[in-house]
This record gives sequence, structure tokens and C-alpha cells, in this order.
Amino acid sequence: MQGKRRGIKSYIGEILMLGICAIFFIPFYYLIVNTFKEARAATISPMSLPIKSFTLDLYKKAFDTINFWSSFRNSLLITVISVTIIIVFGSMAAYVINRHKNKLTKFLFIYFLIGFMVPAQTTLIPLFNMMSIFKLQNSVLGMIVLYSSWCNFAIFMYQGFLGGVPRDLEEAARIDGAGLWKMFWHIVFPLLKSVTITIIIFDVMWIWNDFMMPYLFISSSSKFTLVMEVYKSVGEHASNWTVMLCTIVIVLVPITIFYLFMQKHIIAGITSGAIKG
Amino acid sequence: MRKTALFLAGFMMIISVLTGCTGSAGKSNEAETQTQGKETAASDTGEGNVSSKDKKTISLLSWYTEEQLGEFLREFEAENQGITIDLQYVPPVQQYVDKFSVLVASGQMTDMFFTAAETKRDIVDKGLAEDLSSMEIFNRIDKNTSATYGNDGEIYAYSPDAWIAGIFYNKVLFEEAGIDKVPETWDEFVECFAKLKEYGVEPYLDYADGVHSLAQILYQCMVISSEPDADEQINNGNSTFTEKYTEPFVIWYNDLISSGLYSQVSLGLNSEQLLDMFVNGEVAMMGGGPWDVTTIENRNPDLDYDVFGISDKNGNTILSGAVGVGLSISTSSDNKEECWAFIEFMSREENILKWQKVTNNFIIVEGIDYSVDTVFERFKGDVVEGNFYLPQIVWKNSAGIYKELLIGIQDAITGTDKIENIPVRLDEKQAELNQ
Amino acid sequence: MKLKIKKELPYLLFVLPAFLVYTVLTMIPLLQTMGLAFTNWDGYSLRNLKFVGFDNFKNLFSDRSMKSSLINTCFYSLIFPVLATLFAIPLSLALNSKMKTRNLQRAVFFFPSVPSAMILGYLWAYILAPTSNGLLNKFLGIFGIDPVLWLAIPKWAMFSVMMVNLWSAVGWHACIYLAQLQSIPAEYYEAATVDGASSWQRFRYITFPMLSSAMTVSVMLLLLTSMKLFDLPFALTSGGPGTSTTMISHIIIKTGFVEKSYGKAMAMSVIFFIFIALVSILQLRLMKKREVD
Repeated sequence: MQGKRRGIKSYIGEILMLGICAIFFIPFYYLIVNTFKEARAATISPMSLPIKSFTLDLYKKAFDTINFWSSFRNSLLITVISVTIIIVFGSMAAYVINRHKNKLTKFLFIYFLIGFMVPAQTTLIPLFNMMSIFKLQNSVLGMIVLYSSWCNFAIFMYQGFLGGVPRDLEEAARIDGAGLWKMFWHIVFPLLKSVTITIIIFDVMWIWNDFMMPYLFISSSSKFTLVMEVYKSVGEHASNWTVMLCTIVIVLVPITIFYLFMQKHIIAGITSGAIKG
Repeated sequence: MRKTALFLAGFMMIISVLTGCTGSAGKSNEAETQTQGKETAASDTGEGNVSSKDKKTISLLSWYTEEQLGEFLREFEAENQGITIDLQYVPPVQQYVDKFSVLVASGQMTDMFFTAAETKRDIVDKGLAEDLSSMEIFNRIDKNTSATYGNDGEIYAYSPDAWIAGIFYNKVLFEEAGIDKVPETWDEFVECFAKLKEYGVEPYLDYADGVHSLAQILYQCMVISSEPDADEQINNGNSTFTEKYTEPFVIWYNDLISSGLYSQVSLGLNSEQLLDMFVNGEVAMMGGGPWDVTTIENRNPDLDYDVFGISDKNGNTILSGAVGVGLSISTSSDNKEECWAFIEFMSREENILKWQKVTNNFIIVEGIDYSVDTVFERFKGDVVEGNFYLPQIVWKNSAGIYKELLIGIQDAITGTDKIENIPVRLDEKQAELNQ
Repeated sequence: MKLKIKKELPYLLFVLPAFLVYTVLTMIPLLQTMGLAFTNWDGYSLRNLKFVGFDNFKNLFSDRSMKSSLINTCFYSLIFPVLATLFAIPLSLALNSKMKTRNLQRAVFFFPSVPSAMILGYLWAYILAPTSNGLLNKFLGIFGIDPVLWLAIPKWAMFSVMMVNLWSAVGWHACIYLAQLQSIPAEYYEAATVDGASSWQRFRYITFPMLSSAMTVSVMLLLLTSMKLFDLPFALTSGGPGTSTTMISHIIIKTGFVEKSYGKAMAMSVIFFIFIALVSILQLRLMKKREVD
């Protein structure tokens, strides 16, 4: 019965899906293909492959105007360190909230949820104020501290996941006299691998792509992030849209690599984390 | 796929760390290495030892890019060992204004910044900039022009130049459509639209955030030419937007919008797409300024184009133009002396000339001989006479009114609102913002 | 008592780092915003700060642009989650197949959610160019359809924003449903087939109910992002033409940074925040109830 079912109907279905995929992907095809063409060719025949008018000039120009390596380094540093801190802070807090239930932790859970409902634009100036009080503005370190405050998403995810983790191992460890630190890091945290990966994926995407915060708080060009460089080039290259498309492609490459790398884990992670929350 | 991704990722990380460590990557590191090099040189020869305590960095919030200002900054730094200028570029216009507002609101203003028409009011009202009127250079600039960035005799920003905008037109298309001379009145201008449309080419387009320009220019020609203080009257409450702006707006609307001569396509274009279309002969006219010249010539060196100014029905012309953005010193700066020195540096004649080549603007400092090597040369006389104006500089609550004007004109074009109601909305907005 | 604190200490310390950063950089600014809403702050200095009570809250909704943005935000927050869900669920079913290329398909549909909205906005501005050279118009031209002024006509501008948002979000949300689909035991379907249930009946009585907790999460996220929407319309249409794609978030920025009415902007922020909180709580309650059923 199973073997026969894989008949014509499902082949048609597969082709149909692939067709829709192709349509879905067109904007990216358009983006990439035109970065290798002269500007005029891009306008006349936007969908064609750059066989006749192939040129790498645009990329050269793009690289010349944006400080790729320095902004890439800034984005990388900020993203990696922030996400690490989020994982550490978030998992620790979620563990207490989930395992050590009392009035305080109940309050804390709601306290951390409020953050989701605050639209970023509304607290910009007081936030700016806070950042300057602690001398966090215009620095990579400052951005890292700022992004660490986004740990409430991680807390939410960890909290939900922990609900489905049995306490047997922790009970055993407690009987053996293990302290909180040891118990958490050696016994509980290894169990949180899949939801940790999910959180990493989401936070990396959000932080890497984030434009608003660096735009507000970073002013020295040496500290720009990669997304800011694109934005800057929009202003500078208002005259050269295909070069601008190049900067977009350049910015997208690292995050795409990351995405391809993590692809398999995305669905697996969502399964374990989001639904249970 | 996974292996390739891993390899690429690893490769990129290694490269970035390496280049970061050696500090030789990126233009932003050049300034550092240069000043470091000079420091070592100075201490080697034993003269003029600049101790690290004397090294000062002044920050400049800039409307202009590293490419445009870089040369001047390096030269200044070379002359003034011990001072480094940290350029913080933000693209004009709205982004710059937004960033400026955030810095002001949080008390984090840079040592120097550029003052634009949009921020002038804020600076005057809140005392954000130092008074520069004692600088020598202002003796050579017309008092009325200096007043653009001043108040009551004090001057808050230094600018050696002014820009004038006009209507670029494609000479070949004009010829082919049977237009034998540049329009000298509003009606002739509208006729050009009709002739071009008949010929089969799009006569004129704006980009989405610039659709107010024709209506505004008509207002300038019709009202400001006879009443130069019309906007001041509105500020003082002696008149209203409804009184002064309705007539020109209605004429603009009837002649260009109701007639269908002005295309709604403008609302969906950005400035870049518009320029592209003009350069490729897809549209015969577009509004623009000296800043567009380099781009036009680079994109299509063969384009036969020129520029003209719009007039009203009687041939009165008041061009859109204003003093260029000016350099200001923040009142909250701790390095005012150094900032002062930089402005004095920029006001040297040779630097004014060099700067003119960067901006293609007109010099408003008396006694300097220069040539504008662009089609805008024809407006040189207008600059001297002061025959240019921009309401945004005069309006109270300028930024808010400007935004409301833009939205209103867009609404009028889409038919969401009546044109007669737009000046009324401006009055309402003014009342709201004055509370 | 002392013993109790000593016992509690390690737990408190565990929460402390997250609590500190979050409080300083999220909660305190929020409280300051709420506080400033009741003053006459001019966005410059905190001297001469006067308490003005509810002054900033009066006439909040009389501004024409504010009214437009309110309507736009409500419209968007009602329609978009529905549309996205209508597309995401069937998509998740399609992706849950045994097709050979299913991983590729999942990757392609998910990818549009990866680049930031700013980038997508700039990219689509070229695809949606109103001239016959715009990519989408060129495509329509093949079928003899006249160029559509996508971003130039109010209703099309709103449509464009929704369309781009759908394109970027539907794959992401399909994955949320997909995750849950994979945990539905196959026996359920087998039993239903034996009983003679059609595909539609299998979907309606097994699949759909089992997706309820995924739906709660997905709809909550869709609602939240719709209400807070800022980046995409900003990059694609700048809120235009006129105010046809201006959302509440844009008005708050305009009132504060452009019009310098900071007190008013803060008041708007407070109301906005309360509105979002109420809607989210309401939605969660309703859907959690549904889950249990």
C-alpha cells in the first residue's frame, strides 16, 4: 500500500511545491543576480543571468566603501558574547523560577514577561539616558550589556522547557549533597541542549540583524556593526542602487552561512521549546 | 553543504581576527596609525613632545562623509598635533535630524555638529550652540545670510556656501517635443508638461518624499516675491498658512494634478530610482540640486541636460535654496578651543575653495573668485542678489510643519484630502505644536 | 530568619545577573517613560520639570495622523495574523510530507525571515517600483496587465506591506506548526483511516485540534509583532503615501523626535504599552482555554 501511494499524485505535488519555492525565492535571485551586472543591464533585464554583462566591479566598489572586516568583527563580537551571556543569565534565572517556586519567583516570571510588550521605540530616550549613566554608549561593550537585557526571551523558553524535565537526577544529586552551582551546571544544563540551540538561533538572528540599537548608540564608524554599514551605504549610494544591493548581499552572507549551518536544529528546537511554554 | 558552510565560517572568523589584531584593515584605522606614527616621530626627534595627557579627541556629528571631509580633517590634524577629530557620519536628512534629536535629548551631544535648517530652531531655542559671530569670516558674509543660522545678532553656525535647486531637464527630449525655449512663466511650465505628454514621454517626476517641491516653489514665487516676510507673519500670528498658501497650492493642484499632467508614480519612487529614470531619458524633468551633478555625469556622461528655475504666472522667480549646513560648536563641549581652531581652519580661503569643489555649492563669502563648473553657474547672480528662499528655515516648529506639509501634499495627490484643506491642516498643526 | 536568607541566597544569586541587566535596561526606562508622560518634559533637560497630570493624555487621539495610524494598526493587527495563519497551517502540512526535497523546501520558505526587515524593505522597494520596469510590473506585463503603482496608491501600499510581511513570516510560522505536527502520533490517523474518515475529516478532527498549542504561540507572536510593527513599513514606504501605512510606532517616533512633543510621545507610549499588554493577555487567555478544550 505504502509503495504504491508514491504515485503520480505525489510527484505532481512535489513539482508544485518546488514551483512555489522557486517563486518564493525570486526576490533573492533578483538580488544576487543583479549584483553582478552593470547598472543599466540590471534595469533592462533584471531577471536574466549575468552572462553577457558580468562584472565584479560593483563588489569591489561596495567593499571599498564599507568597512567590511571591522564591522564584521564588531557584529561578530557583539553577537557571540551577548548570546553567551543571555544563555548563562537566562538559564540560571529560569532554573530558579521553575524549580524553586515561591511568591518571589512567580512575580519574577511575570516581571520578565512584561518586557515582551514594550515596543522598543517608546523607551528610546530613557534607555539612552541609562546607557550614558553607565557609560555604555558608543562602545562594543555597551552593546553587549544592552543585548544581555534581552534575556527575557531565553528565560521564557528555558522555563517552559524545564517544565518537561523530570527532577530525578536533581533529587539524586541533592541527596548526594551537591550545591546549587554544581547541580545546575553539571546536571541540569546538559539536559537543556536542544532549547539552548533554539535560543541561540533566534538570538543570533535578532542581534545580528538589529539595526535600531547600534544606530542609536554607536556613532564612531570604527564601531559600526555590519547592518549599520548597509544603512550608511544607503545614504551614500543613493546614486548607485546596484552597489547598494551588493552591500546587502555582503551583509547577508554571514547570517546565511549561520542559517545553513543551523538549519536542521531549527525545527527540532522549536518542538522542544516553544510549544511547551 | 554543511561542510562548505563550516569551512567558510571558519575562514571568515580567522581573517577577521587576524585583520583586527594587526589593525591595518579599514579606513577607520588609518587615522589611528597615522597619528601614532607622528607621535613616534615627534618623540624620536625629541622636539615638541606631545604627552598623552595633551592628546585631545573632538567628536564631530557630520552630515558629510569621510570621503568628503577626510582630507580636511587629516590636514588639520597634521597641523595640530595632539588633536584628533572623530567623525561620526549620519546620512542626511531625516536620519541626521533624528540622531541629532536623540543626542540632544539624552545630553550626549558631540563637540561639534552640523546645523541644518531643520535643527536651527532647536539650537536657538535651547541654546545648544556657541555664538561664533566674533569670527573674522563673518565680516565677509552678508548679514542677512548669516542670520539663517543666527538670532539677534548672534551666529550659531559657520557655512561658507549656499545651495540652489532647480529643475533639471533633458534638452533632447524638449527639442523633440517641440519646446523651443526654457519656460519663463508658470503657464509656460505647465505647457511643457502638456507638450511632453503629447510627445509620449513622462514630463516630470518627483520622488515620494519630494512631492511637495513644486507647490512650495510656486508659493515662493507668488508670495515671497512680494512679501518676503510672509512666513514670519505666520509665525507671529499676524497671518496664517491658509491665508498665504492656499492660492498657490490650488493653482498647482488644478494645473498639474486635476489635469492629470503630474503622475502619481512619483509617490512610489525613491530618489535613486528617479535619478536613474532621468539619466536614462525616461522622464524629461526632475527637481534637483548641485549634489546631483556628479551622479548624473557619472551615470550618463552623454546626457544633454541643463537646469532652469520656475516662475509664477508673472515671471517672478524665487529659487529654492538656502545656506549650506553649518559647523557649530556645542555649548556642552569641553574642547571649545580646539573646535574653534577647526572652524577657523575651514574658513581659510584655500579651504573654502577646496570645499566648494566637494559640494559644488555657491560661495557666499565676499571677495573670493571661483567658478561653478556645472549647469548651476547660471544661478550665480541669483545667489549674489539673495534671490533664494526656503520656508523651512523660517517656520516655527519647522520639522513638524514640514512633515505635515509632505503628508498633506501626498494626501492631495492620492485624493485622500482636498488641496484647500492642506494649509488648514498646517495651521492646526502649528496650533497643536505651540501648546 | 537569618537561616532562611542564607538558604535562599544561592537562589537569589542565580537570578540576580538577569534581573539586574533586565531591570536597568528594560524596566527602568519603561518606568521613566511612564513617569515622564505626566510631565512637561521638552526632551532636553530635566530642569524645570513640572508635573502636569493627565494633560498629555487629553487630545491624544485628536490628531489626524494619530487617528489614521490607530486605524491602520488595528486593521493590520486583525487581518495579518488571520492571513498568516491561513497560509502557515496548509504550508506546514505540505512541508510535513515525505518528499525528497522537503529539507530544501523548508529552507527556502524559512529563509525570508532571516534578513532584517530593513534590508527586505529596500530590496522590495525595487521589486515593487511603480514603473513598467519594476520587477513585479514586468511580470504582470507578460499577462498584459498595466503597471500597478504599488507603493504609490494607499490601498496598494498597505497591501504591499502585508504581502512582504507574509512572504517573510509564513515559513517561520509554518515551522512552529510543523514542530507540533511531528509530535502527533501516527496511530490517530491510522485509526481514523480505518474508520473511513476523509482527508478533510482527518484534518478537522485530529490535526487541527492537536495544533492548538502551536496556534496559541504563533498567533500571540503574530499579534505582538503586528501591533509593534515599525521596521518594514519604515523601510518600504516611510509610512506613506500620506499616512496610509503609518503605524502607531511611527507616530510615537514622529511626535517625539520630529515634533519634539516628548511629553505627548511618552503618553502615547504608555497607552500603547497598556493596549498591547491587554490584547496579549486577552488573546492568551482565550486561546489557552481553547487548548484545554
